[in-house]
Amino acid sequence: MSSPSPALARAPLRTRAVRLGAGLVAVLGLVGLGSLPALPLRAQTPAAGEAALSSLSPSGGLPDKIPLSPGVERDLSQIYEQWIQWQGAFFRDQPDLSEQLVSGLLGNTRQLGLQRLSGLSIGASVRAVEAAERDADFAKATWALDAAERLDPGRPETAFARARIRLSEGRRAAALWSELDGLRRTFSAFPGSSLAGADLALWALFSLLASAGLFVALQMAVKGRLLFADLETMIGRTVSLPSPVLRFLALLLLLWPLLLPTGPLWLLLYWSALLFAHSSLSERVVLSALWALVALSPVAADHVRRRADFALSPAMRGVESLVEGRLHGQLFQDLEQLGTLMPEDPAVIQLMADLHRGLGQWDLALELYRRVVEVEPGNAWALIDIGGYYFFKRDYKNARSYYEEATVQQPNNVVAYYNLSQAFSEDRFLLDDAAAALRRAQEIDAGLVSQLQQETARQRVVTFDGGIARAPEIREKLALRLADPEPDPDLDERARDRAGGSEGSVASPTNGEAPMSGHPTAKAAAPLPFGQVPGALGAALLALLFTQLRPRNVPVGPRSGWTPYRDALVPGLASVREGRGGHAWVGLLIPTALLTLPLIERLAYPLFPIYSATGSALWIVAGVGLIVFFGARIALARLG
Amino acid sequence: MAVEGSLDLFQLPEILQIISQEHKTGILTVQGKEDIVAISFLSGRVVAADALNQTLEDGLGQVLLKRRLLTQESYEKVQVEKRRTQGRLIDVLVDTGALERSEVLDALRILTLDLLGELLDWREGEFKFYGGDEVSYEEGFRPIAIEDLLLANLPQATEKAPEESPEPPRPEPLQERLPPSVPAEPEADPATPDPAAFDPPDLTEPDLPEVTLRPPEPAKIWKPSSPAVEDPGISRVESVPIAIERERATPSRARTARTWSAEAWRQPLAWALGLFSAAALVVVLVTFPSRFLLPMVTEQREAFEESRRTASYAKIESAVRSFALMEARLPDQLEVLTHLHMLSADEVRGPLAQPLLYEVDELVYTLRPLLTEEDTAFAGSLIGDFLRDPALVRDRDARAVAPLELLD
Repeated sequence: MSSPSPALARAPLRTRAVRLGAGLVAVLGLVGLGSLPALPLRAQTPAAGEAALSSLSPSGGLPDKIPLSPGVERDLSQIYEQWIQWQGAFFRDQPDLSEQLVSGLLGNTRQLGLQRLSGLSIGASVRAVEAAERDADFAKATWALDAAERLDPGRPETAFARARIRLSEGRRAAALWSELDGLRRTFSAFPGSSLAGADLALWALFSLLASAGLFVALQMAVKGRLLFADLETMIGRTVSLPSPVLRFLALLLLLWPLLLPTGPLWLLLYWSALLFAHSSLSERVVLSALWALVALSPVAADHVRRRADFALSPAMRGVESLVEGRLHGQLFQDLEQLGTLMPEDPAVIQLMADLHRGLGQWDLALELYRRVVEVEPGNAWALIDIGGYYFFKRDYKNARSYYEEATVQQPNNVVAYYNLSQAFSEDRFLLDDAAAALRRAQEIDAGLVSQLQQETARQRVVTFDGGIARAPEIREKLALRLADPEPDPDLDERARDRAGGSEGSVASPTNGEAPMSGHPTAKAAAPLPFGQVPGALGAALLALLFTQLRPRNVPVGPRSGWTPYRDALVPGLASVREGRGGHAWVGLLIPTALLTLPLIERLAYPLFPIYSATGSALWIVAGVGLIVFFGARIALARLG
Repeated sequence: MAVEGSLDLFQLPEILQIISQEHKTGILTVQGKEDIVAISFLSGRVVAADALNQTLEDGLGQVLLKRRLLTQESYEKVQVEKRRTQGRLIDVLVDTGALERSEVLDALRILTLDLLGELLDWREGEFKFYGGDEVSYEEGFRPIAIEDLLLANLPQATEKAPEESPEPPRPEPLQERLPPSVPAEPEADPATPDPAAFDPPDLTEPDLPEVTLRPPEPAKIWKPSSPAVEDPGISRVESVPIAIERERATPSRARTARTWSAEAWRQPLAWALGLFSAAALVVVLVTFPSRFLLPMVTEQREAFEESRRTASYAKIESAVRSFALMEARLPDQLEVLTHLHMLSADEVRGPLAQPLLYEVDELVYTLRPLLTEEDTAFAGSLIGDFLRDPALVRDRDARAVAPLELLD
């Protein structure tokens, strides 16, 4: 009938001293190592990216500023004038004139090779909300909003503005619906989509960490008395002291992490290590997951931060604007940033060439396409666009030579053969060659050839935005470029010159230099974030050491005397009492996630579109979710 | 080594006393009419007692319930836990916090005393003593001195027997049947035996059962009138009758007193700590989200805060530019934008909820967080914006430049 005696009682004094000493070392390690700055490891740049960045000859490179021809400037002025006129129509309440002006605006925009006017769309939305909230003129607000939608379809600001207008009308359900639509559009529009994605990732991380912390707090509430008794016993066996002193020392030993910076978080990590000994297997799994979260959260947060910074960088903004065909007042400045960062990259040069071609600035485009072909002789699309230049200049011989070269570089390129056939057909002695080229194109893709014949009836040959199509490649290279902790000093100097010459024409933090968001001269990218790994490992080590003093691994406590309803209203409590760690954490995670959802902008990044400030949709989603969650728990309690 | 005999010849009190006096270690089994009991001795004191018809755990449970040391509900819960964990009842009681270990051991002692007390009534049966070097018993169990046991059960030992038993042939008093060499009443000097008086027992007497006894040390012969002998080996000895009386009289009150002094304050403290830590966690999360996410890595935290600041400023700039597009000028103050609902009050304060200083100079504006030592100003400008820069539009019209040869 002999019972097992606690290991502590039987362990010789030396062994106990060694264990306590090791425990103290673990605790100090938890504090000390976790406070050290992270190792300044450099982000590795893949060889492909480096090769691409340095592949051009030094003679190549983009000009600092994007030159605009008088024709382009005239078109831009016209857009500005039409905008002024539209505002006049707005104030005079002339929806028909508004329609005409919007059509004119879009026509001029297409002249410049673009399709949307994002800045003017936001402006129209602002006017619409103004009409609704200040003047209660909902009819005017509606047609102004329609204009905003035409100027840039699918813009989230338009949906959020519509939500505000409907709220002013008293149509709350419709307002909520519009706000949800705005959220949906935010996820598909740049840069809101990137920031919203960052918000979701951070929200998940916050929820996991917060629920894990609440799990530890709940464990302390349920099992803290046993931990306290253990600490008293441990201290009492080492030094002989009166009970009140023992209790005080035990309390001190339990609360000392509050002295550290961000004490409550250290406290919970420390308690998680001590409570490990009193936890069931599933609870230990949860605690181990908490430590892994603590260790990996900086990695995840840094990854999210880099993506957000990347999305917010003017260079990236410029690329995305070109991809989506958005014309706004900062477009050329943003693209100049891109040119500064990667002046010799062939993909960027080709993108700029596409821009100039779209603006009608063919001479500039030709020069840039030629630079691309120098570095990338196999770039069939650049060859096709050069051929298009000569075709439009009626230099069909040169046009043919470039189209033929394109067919050699890409034998299955339908457009090359089609354009070649058009170039041949301009010479009456080469009609057979024209037919042969057309046949070859049809052999490759007859459907596409028919489509091209219909779409290019006027201009005869096809040009292609090969540079804009390389946007994914540019994004990757740009991300690597922005992440480089040791920027190129030449780039740095050019950026300074640019920023100084335009008198701060770009939005930038001005802490004495001329850095800008995402610019290489901005604060260097943070070192690789492994700084919380020592803290997590320290907690795990402390838990293992402390567990040796309490080898029993059994859950504590049968169900309490609480009624089922009270258990239902305190998620995780019953599960912790029964030692079901996984259930307890999930029970805490769901309400935590719901409660933090409306705070997502406060915790992470603000959602980019203006007018998105109400957040009522998120509160409603959270409220409904909580009602469903607790309602289900109470219903199960009644049944059980 | 085993010693066996019949209760017809030796009463249990005598047997127990011999074992006690001899400071024997071993197990005494007594087989009665309806039950078999095993008593473990350690150096002559009882450390355990088991009955075949009732398991230790059943008996312990009965004691706990009978003496109200545990409620029925709590006991059932402990049983559930025991079945689930397949552990011992004693361990489960302690691990679940239903009782302190000292309380369980006290209950076990009461159970043992009760069982021994019943055993003293037996007049028929067989006994056998197995000597050994050690016996197993519950750690922390306070051994029971035979003298105390017999004193506590004195009325039963002397009065009950004649009523219950059908007059079996009474054995001769032990002291009369001992070998003549064993002094019957060492009144003169119990502490100083006379080794010369010792003779080995005569084991050949046919009427006596075979009893093998080691040459005894000078022993004290039990007499009813003898005072209770205090065993120097037992610390904090209480007179057994008094102890039992205390347990019988106020068991719950004693337990309540012990519970309050040792346990009652720990649970509320644990709850207080849990609630405090949960509240602190929420405060840190809402007030300092970057510190919550990255409490231990300062550089990453600063980079994250700067990133959030950049995003916040970018949103403010979007609103500022939208205003400028309509009004052809920068707003005089950020509150204008909140009045137009383009930004919320929180957004105008910046990501760290710090107030922002907004300064405007024609076409250039600056945002700067107040109450911070860091120089993290943010500058925005309309210069170069072809939609918002009036000078750019004006200059365009005034410029006379030969047009480029444009292609259709």
